[in-house]
Order: sequence, then structure tokens, then C-alpha cells
Amino acid sequence: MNRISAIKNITNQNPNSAIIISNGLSSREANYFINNNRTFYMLHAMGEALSIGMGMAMLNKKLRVVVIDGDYNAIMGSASWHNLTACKNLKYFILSNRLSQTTGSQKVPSLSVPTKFKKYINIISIKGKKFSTPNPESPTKIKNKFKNWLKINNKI
Amino acid sequence: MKKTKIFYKKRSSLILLSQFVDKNFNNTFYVPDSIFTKLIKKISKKTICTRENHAISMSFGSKLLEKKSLVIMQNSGLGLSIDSIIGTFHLYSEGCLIFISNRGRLPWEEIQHKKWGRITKKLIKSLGFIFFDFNKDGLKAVKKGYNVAFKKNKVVFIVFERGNIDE
Repeated sequence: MNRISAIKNITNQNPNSAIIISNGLSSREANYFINNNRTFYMLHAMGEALSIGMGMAMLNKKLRVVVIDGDYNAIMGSASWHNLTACKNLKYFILSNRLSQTTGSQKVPSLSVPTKFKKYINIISIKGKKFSTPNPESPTKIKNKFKNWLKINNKI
Repeated sequence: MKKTKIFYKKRSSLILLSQFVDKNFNNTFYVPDSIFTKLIKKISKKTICTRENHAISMSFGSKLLEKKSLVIMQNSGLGLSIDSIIGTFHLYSEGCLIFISNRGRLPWEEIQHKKWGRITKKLIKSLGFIFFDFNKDGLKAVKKGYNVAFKKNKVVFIVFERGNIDE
């Protein structure tokens, strides 16, 4: 499965969830090929997608939050996994190809998930080339569309 | 002989400060620091974080829901936080209030804190962020910082010296 098919599957399987997608190719490709209002496309801050999602999940227990991370992003943010136990309303997906494709496909360390976190973390293996996609929309547009979706759906 | 600088406790500051935090914030994301031990104990809604950059991002997540979350950290945590602050609050033009301790300013403090004591305010300023001095203005600094952060959507630090609220 390639990256965009994996993201489409997760998005379709979680129709009422707010989605956070980590920066890099995940965010770029998702913004270019899917682009919906309920997704917050990150542009920067490596390793922070999960923390943003957890901040949302902790402050609104009725909101369903989905976080989609790349494996290298996930490794960088792994110190935050300890807070996952407080976020029952959050689903965490890691797309793993063991490459940092956006920076030239360097091989990255393998992802190791401690047993206590295994039930919170879903790893999906992805393969295939990267698509040449532009930077996502402007930060203000991304934020406003996302916040509007939250408001319209009474999540705020 | 070099004059020793001492930072004095602000009168009633701990109680008023914790009341202000409870009244104005939905949550506090923090990394423990000895200067904030007593304050953190008094704050009702709080979440301990493993790293300061994650505390920043969790606070940003809550801001996407239009809720306000305070961040508390030691000055060394600023080093870890810069990219998170720039990639979240700054990039998406949202306001954030951060309580930061200024460890390393007193002569008896341990050597590993000294450099941070010298550079914290300069670093905040050089990043283009705003800070208010709790040592100088007490709770007024916090109120001013809160207004600038959330009315003007800026990243604002409140700098606490050792002795202001901890001893």
C-alpha cells in the first residue's frame, strides 16, 4: 500500500474524527490528493503531531482524534507516548517505510514500540515512490478550515 | 567584592498566581522544575509532560479547540521548545503563555545552570518573542502577558527568578 492509499483508508474509516497529519510527505500528499476540512495539515515541528492530537483529546473527551505520523516523526516524538494512556479518544497511526523520503530517502532507525504502548499504536507498512506535491496551503487557511469544521460540528 | 543579587518573594504571589491560573486556563502542561514545585501543587488541572517541546504542542492542540493551556518549564527547556513554538503557535498565529524559570542567576546555583541564567532573556528576545518579568511586576506581569498572548495572538513568556515563589 502506498502512503496516500493508507491515509485515505484511515480517513474513510474514521469519518467523524478530527485528523492531525505530521509534516513532510504525509501532510503534503494528503493535502494535495485528499484535502478535507477536518484535517490539520502540519507544516513544521517534527515529532509533534501526536502531542497536538493528545492536547486536543485531553481537553475534549467527546472529540475523536486521529493522528497520522510518519515513522521518523514518530521516533522523534516517542517521548510523548507516556501521555497516550490518558487519551482513550485518540487513535494513533504510524506509516512506516523506514525512510526519510522527503529529505532524500535516507534509511531511518527501526521503530520499536514498548509492550505497554502497543495497544495504542497502529503501525501500517507503506511502500512506493513519493509524489511530487507542493507545500500545503497557507498556515492560516489550514487552521481556519480546521477550526470551522470543529465549530460547525460542535466540537468547540 | 561582587555584590550578591537576591530575588525576593513577591507577597501573596503564590496563592494569587494559582488562583489566576485556575480561573483563566483550562489546563496546564508542564515539565517539573523546583522553582515551580509549590505552584504546580496548587494548580487544579495539570498534565505532566516528558519534554518541553511536547508540552508546547499539547497546549497548541488545546488552542485549536479554543481552549487555553498554560505551559510551565525550566529555562533549559526553552532549548528543546524553540522548533515546536515556531512550528505551532508562531506559524499558525495563535497566542500562548509560558511560565519559565530563570535558573542560574544566583551565585550559589550549580554550574550547569549558569549559561542558561545568562542567556534566557536574550534568547527569548532574539527569537522575537515577548517576555514579562515576574521579579519586577509580580502578578501584573502575568496579567499583562496573558492579555498580549491571547488578545494579540503572541507567544509570551513570564520569567520567574529563584526566590519569587519558591522559597
